[in-house]
Amino acid sequence: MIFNRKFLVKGRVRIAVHLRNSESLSLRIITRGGRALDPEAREGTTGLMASLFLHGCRGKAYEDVVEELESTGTSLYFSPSLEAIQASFWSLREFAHKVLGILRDCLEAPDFPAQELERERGRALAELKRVWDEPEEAASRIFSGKVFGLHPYSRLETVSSLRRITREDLLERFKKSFLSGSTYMALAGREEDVEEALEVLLPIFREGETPLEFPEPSPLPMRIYFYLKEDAEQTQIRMGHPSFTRAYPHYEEALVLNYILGGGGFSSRLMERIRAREGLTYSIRSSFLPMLRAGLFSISTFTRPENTLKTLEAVIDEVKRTLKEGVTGEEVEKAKSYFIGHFPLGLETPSQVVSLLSSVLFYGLGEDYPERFLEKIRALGPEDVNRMARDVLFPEKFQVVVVGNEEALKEVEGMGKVERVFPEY
Amino acid sequence: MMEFRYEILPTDFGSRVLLIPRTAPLVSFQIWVRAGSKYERPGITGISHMLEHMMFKGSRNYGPQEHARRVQEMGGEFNAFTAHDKTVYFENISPEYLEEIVKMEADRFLYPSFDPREFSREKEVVMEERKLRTDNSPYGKAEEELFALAFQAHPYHWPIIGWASDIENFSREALVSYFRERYTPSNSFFVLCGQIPDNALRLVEKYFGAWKGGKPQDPPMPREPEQRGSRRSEMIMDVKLPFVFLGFVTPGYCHGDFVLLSLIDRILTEGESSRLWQSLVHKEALASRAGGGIYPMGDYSLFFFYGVSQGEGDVEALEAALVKEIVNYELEPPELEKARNQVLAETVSSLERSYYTGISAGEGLINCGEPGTFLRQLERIKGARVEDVLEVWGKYLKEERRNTVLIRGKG
Repeated sequence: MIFNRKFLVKGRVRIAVHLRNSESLSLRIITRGGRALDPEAREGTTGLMASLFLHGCRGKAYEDVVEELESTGTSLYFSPSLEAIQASFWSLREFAHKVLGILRDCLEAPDFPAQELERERGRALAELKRVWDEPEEAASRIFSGKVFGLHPYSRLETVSSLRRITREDLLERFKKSFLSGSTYMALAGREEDVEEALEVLLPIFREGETPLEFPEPSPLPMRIYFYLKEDAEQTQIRMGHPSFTRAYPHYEEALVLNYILGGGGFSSRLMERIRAREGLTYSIRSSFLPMLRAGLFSISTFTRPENTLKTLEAVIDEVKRTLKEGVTGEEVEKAKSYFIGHFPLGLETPSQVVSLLSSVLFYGLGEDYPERFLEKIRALGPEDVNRMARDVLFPEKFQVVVVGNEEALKEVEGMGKVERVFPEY
Repeated sequence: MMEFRYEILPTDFGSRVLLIPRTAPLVSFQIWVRAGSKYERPGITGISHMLEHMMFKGSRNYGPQEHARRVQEMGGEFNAFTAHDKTVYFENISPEYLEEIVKMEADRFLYPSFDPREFSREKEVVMEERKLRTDNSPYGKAEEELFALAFQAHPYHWPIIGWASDIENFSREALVSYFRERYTPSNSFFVLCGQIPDNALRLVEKYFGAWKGGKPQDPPMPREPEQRGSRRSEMIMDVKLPFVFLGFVTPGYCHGDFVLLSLIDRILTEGESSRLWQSLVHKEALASRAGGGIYPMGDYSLFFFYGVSQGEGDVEALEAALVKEIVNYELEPPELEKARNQVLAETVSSLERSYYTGISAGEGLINCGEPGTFLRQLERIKGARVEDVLEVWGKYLKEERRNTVLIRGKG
């Protein structure tokens, strides 16, 4: 075993524990059902709920909750993603007891006060505007809203959806969250601290399961979206398509493929060509993001307005070349060497171990996953990677998002029909 | 409570090695060079940062980016960063690869290529980096403006990445000359933190032994004149939410007041219970975001605050509310205790990673000549009294020392 860990099931909650003599307690709770479960036309419900957990619980006001929490030097995060909500903290041992009490109160009895809802709604509406001030953030938001087409995973909060959300919506949404059959906990720290955490937190998870039933989204024919930012001095580019889920049996092959294509920094083909050889950008990277019910492949970069078309074409050409020519044995060996060498480095801190264990639990990867992952990587050859590449990369089905100025727009029009995007406010 | 033991050893080629042994599955190998933007001059601003880029573009025995690729094959992490007072190169790797890393680092420090074609191409890349972080980002632009406004004499005035025209114009010869002057053994030191093999010093001496060069003649550092009135800059940009940045010049990292200012920083800006968040975001709903921090530098620091408005309306009201909180010189013991705990938690958390431990120690060594500075600062924080903090608060965060950058939308 690469590092100590034990797995438990208490009630229906699945738990992973890593013991070490640290001066801290790291904890992450992850529960199934994230933004994808927002009711239609009320997108943003999960986000608002997550941001309101600390805004009053068990009758205690927001100001008092955050004062008590932050007096311990602890940050407690509630982060919603498409398929999950996470609650996580890192705390000094001496304050762990207090922090656990606050987390218990906020997850068991959040008040969602109406006045606090109005305040957070106001902030969420402002954030929605601010996104369009930063070209990077605007590009990422447009991409998230377009890449899955009409699939529910494309639904984003809008001004009108945020305005519709009521306190009752939050309470209804909360009823389906943190249910014992869909909740996982990963902890790292001293045995007595871990035991106390389990004792305090386990009773709060109500019986039930959160279903997450969605069809798997498919790649769509290529579409090009453009948002005009008149004074932009740089063009932001995103492209990609729906991809495999975390249950895909060739996940490790895809990791190696992505490392070679655009995930491996200066070792990647995209970085070598787009930055080092052609000097078109400062950074470019690709990634696979596999989830429970869907997955995503994406490439992200930026360039000068006058190089927009050249960059778009070069990126797509490089993906096509990788598919056509395949990867080489030498590239695969180097990628394998990276993953095998890097793995232990990512286990230095308790928080890093907790992060790995929570993924193992959430995606049902199995208790021996860390060792199996390394074994699978070790066994890979170029033929394995090339065999699956055509199942996971479809450059002709990229959804392309470009944010830039008039010159960039003219450049993009050289690629074909362009659909203009406008802010939703 | 915290594991921090260290040893500083002189090398036979005129440098120093700081060893911080820890039980960790890795070693963080860092090279610190006194070559930051403050050692530049108008015309070559950004040359320290450009040089950092060029150090990845090949040396006598390694081609462009080969250093990076080799570290990745080891599964290691690597990068470098340029700051106002220094440039730091690092690799976090499994200890078995340490010798190869030292060998590669020595190759680029002793025999860099600085290939003219790579130099021209990398200028384009740096220009794109500048656009990403500054020219194309309203917040990056405001930050650059704030430094330029707050520092009128000292070289902290110009951005680390450099003015765009300087990046375009400085020559390869200027870069080589800057490298020869500043990248010398006595102007640099090594940090090793984590699982350190017994022969670490010997390895460094084996590969860096031929490194030559004396102590550079530092350019005279102008003293920032005492600010006797608030300064202001306003810009119109393509933003929907106007925002405001405020900055106050405060003492550098080693000054006794720095740690007390870091407590004030926590009180005003740390988390949702902080004064700025509670007042501007929560109670008055003037801001969608509000916060701040301290840019810790060697000669001075910049204590900054920001507020992003919640609507398109009155950014002056936001500015006024921000100032009101900053000059509210009141403090009760529980609030001070909260700030203390926040600093303590942050310190313990950073000590869980070898890389951050090395960085904290390096900061202490380069700025104050003492790797354990951050622990000494922690002791001072533990003993700080309400009246000590209030004295420093009133001394530095006052109206006549304020620098304001305000960004309005076009509409």
